[in-house]
Amino acid sequence: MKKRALALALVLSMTFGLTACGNGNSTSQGSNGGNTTTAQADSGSGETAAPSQAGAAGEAKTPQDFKKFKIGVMESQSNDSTVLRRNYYENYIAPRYNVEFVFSEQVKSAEDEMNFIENCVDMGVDGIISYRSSPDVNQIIQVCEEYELLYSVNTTRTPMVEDAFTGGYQTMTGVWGTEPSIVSNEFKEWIKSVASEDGSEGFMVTSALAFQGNTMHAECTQGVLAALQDIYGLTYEDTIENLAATSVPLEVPNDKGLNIYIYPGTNSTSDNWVQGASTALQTGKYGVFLQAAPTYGYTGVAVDEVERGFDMNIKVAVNASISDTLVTAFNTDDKFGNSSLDMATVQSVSFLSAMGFIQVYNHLTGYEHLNRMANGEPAFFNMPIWALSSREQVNQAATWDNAEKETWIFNEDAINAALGICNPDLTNEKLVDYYKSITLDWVIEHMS
Amino acid sequence: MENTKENKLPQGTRKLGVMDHIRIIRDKPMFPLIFPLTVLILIIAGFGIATEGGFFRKTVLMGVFNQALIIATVSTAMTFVFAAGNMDISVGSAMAFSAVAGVYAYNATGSVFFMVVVCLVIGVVLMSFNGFIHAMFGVRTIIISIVMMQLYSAIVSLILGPDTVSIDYGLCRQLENAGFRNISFILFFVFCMILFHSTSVGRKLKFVGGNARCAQQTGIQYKNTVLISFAVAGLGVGLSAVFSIIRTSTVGTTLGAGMGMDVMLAVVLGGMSIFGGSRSNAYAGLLGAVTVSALNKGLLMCDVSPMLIQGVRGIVFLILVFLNSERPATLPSAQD
Repeated sequence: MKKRALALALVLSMTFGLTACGNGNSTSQGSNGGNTTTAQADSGSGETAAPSQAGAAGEAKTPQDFKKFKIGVMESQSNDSTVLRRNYYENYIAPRYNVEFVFSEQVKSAEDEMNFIENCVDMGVDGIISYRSSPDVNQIIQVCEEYELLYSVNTTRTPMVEDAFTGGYQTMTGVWGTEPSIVSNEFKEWIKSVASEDGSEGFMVTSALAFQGNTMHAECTQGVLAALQDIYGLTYEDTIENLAATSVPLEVPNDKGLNIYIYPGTNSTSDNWVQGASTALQTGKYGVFLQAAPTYGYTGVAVDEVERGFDMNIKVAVNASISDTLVTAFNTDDKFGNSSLDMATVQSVSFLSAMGFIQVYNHLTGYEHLNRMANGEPAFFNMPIWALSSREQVNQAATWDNAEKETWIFNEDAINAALGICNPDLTNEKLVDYYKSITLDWVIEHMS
Repeated sequence: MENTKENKLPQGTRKLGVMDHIRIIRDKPMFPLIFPLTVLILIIAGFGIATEGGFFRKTVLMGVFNQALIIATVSTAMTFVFAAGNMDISVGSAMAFSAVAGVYAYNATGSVFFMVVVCLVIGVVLMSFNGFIHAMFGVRTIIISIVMMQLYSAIVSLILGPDTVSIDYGLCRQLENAGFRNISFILFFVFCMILFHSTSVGRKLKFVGGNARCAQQTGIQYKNTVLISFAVAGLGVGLSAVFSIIRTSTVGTTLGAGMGMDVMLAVVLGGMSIFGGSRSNAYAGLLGAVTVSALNKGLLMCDVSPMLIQGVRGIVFLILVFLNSERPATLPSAQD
């Protein structure tokens, strides 16, 4: 309780203490709607074009004090989260922070990523926010360094991308995202709560892009395997890391003979992915179905058919974002009158998207020290993830990031609290604490 | 008035419609070159105007070429396969296989020359193997390529797992800045043009693509001709693997994904039918790849949203495919 109270106090103090950003000289500024019509700080100050000249310590500025920055957004997937993010960037952030966004098509490979970066350079883009989590980060940052293009990527700090942190790259603003071990723990706890004593129901895991090095998907799958190992005292014939990274469907060999099946890929990596997943489910061997990526929209029909055909209640958990598809899935009854989905670890699209924007924007406005740890290396900002397991929770969460009503968990006040131009005394440590303090309880209270 | 005009036509003939006129224009010998080239010039000019000259900048035009280079290399090589009426969609997987082998070769020896040789050899071996199975057992090339695509991808995934392999970025930039890719491509393109348009190889391929049985009866050895076409395709696959390594300095399991379709698209956009035959040429791949690249870059520079980009690109492709894909009515082809 003390912790919660402290967290709440910290968030409130930062939020209210920093609302001066843009308001000192502004004519009007709604926190949840309408465009910012902030006036120039003073007629003599002019625009600050070069990032290096910006951000004089101790002096709050407004977005209008800077040139209009151009930011490229690289998307590796195409789903309702990416649509929502685009809306958030284009219609909410862009007018308020005097920035322009350039969006990529679905980026699937390093070659696609290179093409988009080059196109961005031709268009005069200042920085890239990448949602492509891959081991190519080490190489891509070198490309960005050459073009003097800021690069912020949604991933975690793993040995595979270590060079990007230790290479001394000036344009590497850092990384941000959910610590995969948190997702892994949520999955573990959920399995413990639903699994039978002997594990005879069988477990199927769709490991999504784990085989391509996607950290989140890999950790999710590893978390499930580790949980099963803990609960049933299993011994696998290979390491959990290797099993989770399989690129072909795999019946996981184990000493207790439990049915554990890993099915890699997504509907976008293979045209036959849905058919393969359906076929596996229709064997009736799997009573618990865990998905490392939000693919439930494609597997829902198969789950329903199996539940009806085998008269078995399949428990389904997924790692997803708050979206219409998730809400629909939770509000759809299965044969037994339960929700089609039983548990979802969710991220807020606006929260995740704002973290990327804040990283790049702080760098562009001269507050790059906010993106650096004490040893000078690029920072990793951890984003909390929340486990939702009831319709009420999901329906409530659905109202938080809403493009039509223009309500966002990470609204203007929340963003301002993390910007150097609004808080000249902000430090990297404070920023890390700020993100940590935004818990599910805080969001529920804040959004209500 | 209408009746009078109709009456002037000789008996047994009919008035030409719009489609007839399109077909007549389409059947002109120079159409496969002039039409895609005109479209490409119009696209570049259109984007140049829309971006107030921004698209004409040297860096932008070079970027268009650079981004088209890998597809252009494979497409140019694959025109040899398509010309003979065959298809192969395993080029992406074969390229990834070659690239992985090349990176390992470089990391083991530190020799760029060895890396290039390994890539080329692996590329030629893999593609020749596809051609060999077709030539020996008569299995359709498309079926072989579907199976081989899975096999090559599985091997690459097995070798790499979730990791990527990479080589020194600085070395890649040195090679890039020295024009290695551009010079290599030009040499390869000239080689293909000469082989296809100035030797008997191209003529035989077109003849085989037009009607394999007829070609065989005139003394053309079908198996040898097909094997040559796949060997050249392998050379292109190997070279594109080298280009890919140099461009990104990293190789992962996603390399080459969907390339088979991109290559077919490039060839059709470049003015050649993927069913081969007499109107085949070696430059279609380059024209098509540059067109796709110019469209992608230009639409993005014009601030067209990614979703609209796909739509606009689709419409342009449909028009070009409609105008390019049909062959003139001749003898029955291999597909007939």
